[in-house]
Amino acid sequence: MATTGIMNGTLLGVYAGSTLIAHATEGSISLSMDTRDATTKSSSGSRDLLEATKSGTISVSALYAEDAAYGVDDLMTSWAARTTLVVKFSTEVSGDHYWSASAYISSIEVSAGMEDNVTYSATFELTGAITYSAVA
Amino acid sequence: MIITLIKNTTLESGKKLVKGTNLGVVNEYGKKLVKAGNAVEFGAEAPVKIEDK
Repeated sequence: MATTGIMNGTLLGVYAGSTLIAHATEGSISLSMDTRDATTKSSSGSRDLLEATKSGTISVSALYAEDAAYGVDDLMTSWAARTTLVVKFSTEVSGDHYWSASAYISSIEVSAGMEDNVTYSATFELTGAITYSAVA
Repeated sequence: MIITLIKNTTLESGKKLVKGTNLGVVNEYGKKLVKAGNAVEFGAEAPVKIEDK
């Protein structure tokens, strides 16, 4: 049964391959569509637009742990090999909606402050069709 | 779903995880691991194996 009411952000996780990115503190998806300027002298002074490519990114921030079930070590493998992986932004609660697509890792940032948690963030640049559907 | 590995398991990614590890996985993959006897749903007891005497 789908989640009811205003959703708690803790429920939505970023999955890389089939595995949840461990120790995450933040996750987000950003979708956009480019437009083509089709303004002509016949546009009566208003800008006319036409559709162009759709795109998106999924980002995650997490605490760094060497023994994480899925962490920087795994992300580095995909980044170094420059291969795509399937990413999913989902609660995995039946009936809830999720986003999923193939993606390249376009950035990994690791931050280590004095007497503070080591943290990292990664950005997945989505490629191909982006699926938006309900969890079975 | 969150699962607990009840056997040392090599994930689809090739990563080796030890028995007792808790991890989140997409539902389909979690069910596959549970069906294969490599994991149980988090909080569930591992099935007891009754040995013949």
